[in-house]
Amino acid sequence: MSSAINTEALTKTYRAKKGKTVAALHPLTLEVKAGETFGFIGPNGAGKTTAIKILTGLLFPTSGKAFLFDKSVLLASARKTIGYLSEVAAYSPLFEALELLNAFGTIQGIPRNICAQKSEELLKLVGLFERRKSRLGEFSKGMLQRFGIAQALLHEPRLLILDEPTSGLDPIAQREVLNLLHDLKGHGITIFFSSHRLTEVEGLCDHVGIVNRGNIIFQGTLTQLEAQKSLVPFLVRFKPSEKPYSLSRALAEGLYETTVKRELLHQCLSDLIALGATVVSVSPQRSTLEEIFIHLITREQGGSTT
Amino acid sequence: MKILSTLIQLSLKEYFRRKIFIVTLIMMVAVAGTGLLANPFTVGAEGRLIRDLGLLLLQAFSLVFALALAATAIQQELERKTIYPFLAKSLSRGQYLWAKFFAISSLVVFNNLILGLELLFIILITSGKIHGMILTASLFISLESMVLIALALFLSILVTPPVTFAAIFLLFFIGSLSHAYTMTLTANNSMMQFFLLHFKSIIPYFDYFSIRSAVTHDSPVSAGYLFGTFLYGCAYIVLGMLLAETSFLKKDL
Repeated sequence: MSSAINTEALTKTYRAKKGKTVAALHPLTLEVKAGETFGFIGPNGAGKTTAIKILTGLLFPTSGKAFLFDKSVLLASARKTIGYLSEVAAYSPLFEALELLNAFGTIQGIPRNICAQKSEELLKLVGLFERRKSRLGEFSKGMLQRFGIAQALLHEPRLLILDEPTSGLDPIAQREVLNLLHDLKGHGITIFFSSHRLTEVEGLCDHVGIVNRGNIIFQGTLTQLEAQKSLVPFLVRFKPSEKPYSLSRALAEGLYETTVKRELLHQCLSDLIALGATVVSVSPQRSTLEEIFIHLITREQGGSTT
Repeated sequence: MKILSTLIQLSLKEYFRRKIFIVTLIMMVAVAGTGLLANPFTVGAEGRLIRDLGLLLLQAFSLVFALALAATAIQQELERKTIYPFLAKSLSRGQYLWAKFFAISSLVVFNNLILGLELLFIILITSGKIHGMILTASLFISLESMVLIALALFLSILVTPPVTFAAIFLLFFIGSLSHAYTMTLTANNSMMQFFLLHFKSIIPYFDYFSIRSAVTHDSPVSAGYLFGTFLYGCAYIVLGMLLAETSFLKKDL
């Protein structure tokens, strides 16, 4: 399977005040295969938008290379294959939906008659056909986002790049956008979308990349991410015979608990039994993908898990 | 060409739909119409003062209008992020920039033609003569403004709109000074004189575009002069736009 997105040691450094520099991307190496639905996840300020802006030619990398279907992103022709929706679907409020969509089509080189038909079809797909003659200034955020998706799909791109497409939307509008992406998934289009919430991509993506502080800290399938549960600490509850195990917390009369890394779990249980304690329960402290995500991020940031 | 014309159309539609554009145009027409008030003072030189004052006003309006649009055109789109859906396509940044240039220039030419026609009409009713050179003068004021638009677009990519506006205004002022006046102005400061004379040798000399004096005094203007000035203006427009394109191609958005 060919690569839709390929980055090689991509870095981006911004100039800050007093001659200082801020690295938004440390060497970022990422590969997204054609046909995948890829969730690019990370907390705010992780470097998601910077990476996406480099892929769409809006920013230039400080070093490293990025390719879209094996063409350098520095070439305008590479962008022929992509549809892009920025974090905020920003369009001049003075244009009508259909009018602007037709103009985008002409810019993409779509013949006028085909473009008119395609624009109407897409507005129907995103549920805005009835409002095709309305000015974009009258649209809600959710409607603008859906219009943005229609705009990104107009030239039948092979790759759709969406930067936090549900950001700032109410739950209903979020659901609408996600459902729309779900429908598109079946059309063989590669979807690359960023988010800071793993729950959002759980039902949609087959692959995820977790980025933090400009580094990819995990890339793989959701199943592989599930396997990261082994990294998650366990919670051991026990009743000590004499004195409580060190680092434990008292829960109730005679009941204590402690958090233990998986690799130390066996040793911990042996110690407890040796001390005459009764082990009441052993359970992974976190279990949802969102919690694994948080665990990976906090671990990367040097957060504390015993 | 199709891409460029679509982008120009979009920009023009947007400008026309902004009510501020129509309001500005109406205000310009109203102010230019006050030239009629100067009529009682033109005894013996009917229309001469109106022509002079009218063309001066036209030039001032054109300059301010062109600069206000060019200095903010790119920055405003960047702030509103409306530029992203365009530039993330196979469209080149150069095409986008040229489209902005042509759209703003078209508006300036349109405005100047309306004001030129108004002036022509005022002169017709006050002196009973048709001065066709008024329209030629308004076109050359438009050319002058187009040079400024190209330079303002270039500068606006590097600095903020207010700085662009101020810098281009200063450049226009320096570029309008005659050699003799520059020498007189800097007679006491040889350093400033050296700097100004060298600076003036690379920036356009805006007085070339002004045929106001000739139009006011009914002096003939040769076709050769007009053609030469046209080429001079075009050369500076291309230079300004190439600088703008080069800066824009390297800009992180």
